[in-house]
Amino acid sequence: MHIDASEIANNTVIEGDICIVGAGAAGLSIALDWNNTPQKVILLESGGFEFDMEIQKLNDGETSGQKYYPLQSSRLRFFGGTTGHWQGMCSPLDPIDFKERDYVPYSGWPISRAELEPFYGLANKTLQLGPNEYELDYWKNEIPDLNPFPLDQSVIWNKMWQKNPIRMGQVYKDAIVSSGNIHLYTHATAVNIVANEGLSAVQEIRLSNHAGRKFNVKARHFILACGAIQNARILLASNTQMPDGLGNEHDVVGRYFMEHFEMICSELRLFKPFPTGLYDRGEIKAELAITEAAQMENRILNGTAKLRPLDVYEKVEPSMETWTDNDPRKAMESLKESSWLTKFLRLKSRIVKPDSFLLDTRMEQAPNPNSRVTLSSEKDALGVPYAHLNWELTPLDKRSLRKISEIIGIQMAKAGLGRVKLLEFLQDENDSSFPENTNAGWHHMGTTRMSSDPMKGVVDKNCRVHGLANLFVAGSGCFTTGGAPNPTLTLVALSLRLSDHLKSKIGTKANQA
Amino acid sequence: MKRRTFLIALAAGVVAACSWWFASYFRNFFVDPIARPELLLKIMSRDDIRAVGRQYRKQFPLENDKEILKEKLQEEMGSSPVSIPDYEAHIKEDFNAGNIVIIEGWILSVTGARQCALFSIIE
Repeated sequence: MHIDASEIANNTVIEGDICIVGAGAAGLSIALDWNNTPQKVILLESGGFEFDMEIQKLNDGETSGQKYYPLQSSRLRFFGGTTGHWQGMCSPLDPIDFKERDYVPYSGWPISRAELEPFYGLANKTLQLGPNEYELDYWKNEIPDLNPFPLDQSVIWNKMWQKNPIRMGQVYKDAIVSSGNIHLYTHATAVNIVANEGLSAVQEIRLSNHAGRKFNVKARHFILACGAIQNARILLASNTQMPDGLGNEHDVVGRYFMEHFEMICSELRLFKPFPTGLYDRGEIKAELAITEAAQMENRILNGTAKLRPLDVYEKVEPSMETWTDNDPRKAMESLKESSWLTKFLRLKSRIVKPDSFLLDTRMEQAPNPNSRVTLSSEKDALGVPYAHLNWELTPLDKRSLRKISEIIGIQMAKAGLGRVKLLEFLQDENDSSFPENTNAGWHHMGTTRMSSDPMKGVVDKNCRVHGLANLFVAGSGCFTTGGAPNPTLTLVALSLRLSDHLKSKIGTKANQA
Repeated sequence: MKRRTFLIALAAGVVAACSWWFASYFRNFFVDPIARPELLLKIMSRDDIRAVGRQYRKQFPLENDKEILKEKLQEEMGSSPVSIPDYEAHIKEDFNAGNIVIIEGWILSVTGARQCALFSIIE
């Protein structure tokens, strides 16, 4: 069922069992999981079914610290969320990502990779990927020409990826709109979360829109699924009852903002071209990854390297320099290759196997309490303070970026394949600074991080906000650490795990059985 | 006469071109293997190798001397004379043993870097 809240009567009170705020990858995954259940699900979407620049402006905000993308264009605010323009790259986190590492401050999830495993399978289905298989051996049987570099497997392994840029808003619109128990409200922007008198549970969410309508949603359970920056923003802005915001008793909300580095760090020159179909394919491919043992030995963060043909990419500017427009449609254009020379070189690299590559490193950022989202003094059109993002990096980040290229370089040399050259910004091992064009993956994580300890995290292991009995957060904001891969597959898996937890809590599982 | 002069000039030109090509093509064969970073020559220009060599000598000033570099390279190999494949094998051993230096961003074996240094002096 779909209701356009632009036409709703003022002061309407909508009631349901579960209220999901946000219809992006996380919110839609949960809503779909509740389709055809006896529970009434209220799904709130700030935008409509199409892009609207006025609504997109609600994402605006300020940034400081390390240069970052314009906040307004780094997320999409309409049905389907940022899956409306994502690249669809998926791979699960590794077991080490969930563990506490003594050299990574604030690391260690309260759940293990094994606990998330069943939900990865479900997430694979939601994102319409291939089989839930991310082992090279499986894919070598499926695609015979996948030929890995003969590297020491105790140091380097091949991390597999699947790609499907599913537009969830288009694919799942009919299922949601025709659902009997899911009530989708578009043009419904959450502006305030109100707790009960004892501040132990959420009582209602107040909403507003550009048509001037104001209305409320009451439910038994509330799930924030607006993205890591917006989830933190709405919690911080809900400060009428608690001056520091809801769920923020210990000043953790908004802290530990993390991104993924996506940076060209080094050159790989092979002595002769290596016949491999593994690193340059479209939908199934591998990246060179550092084993858990090698990470621990070198005390570095988790990261991988993808191979980019040197002649194609050496002139491509970092996205941090080109993605500068507030309009995400225009910003997206900057990623598209317009040069005929680039297109020619890319085609050439498919026909004549290249022997020189750039190693494009994808790496987690160390959790850092000073890398954080706070509120701006400026307010949006609906009266909510904008987000202020201070993106801050650490020496461990820089050292790990350098070390990953070094490790790959040494292994390439040991295997007699070639040599690696670090780019200039990594050549001085005593330099912990980052260049201004340090690239990130548009991956917002960590602002409502998961921890069993309310002093160290916003949500518990079931994604429930500490101290509030019925408020949950879905999405990559709950990541304690970011791992190397893009977050969507994991955030969908984590959302489905939260959904499963709620089913157990409400008793739906028993009812369905 | 003009035809004769032309033919002599043409022959001289051909000889000069062949000599230049011969010298360029075979010059490696006349260089002591000790100063020939053969593997690196496959992926780096001679200028890049010279730059790495100069930087190595700057980073390790005690080795900024042709004879010292030769001595160290020969010491590493244990006996002389040695061939290019011997050096390649030794370079691999260097990587296995962790005898690695980073010069101008290149991750190199110490032996390979010393060869670059010697190359930068001799060439």
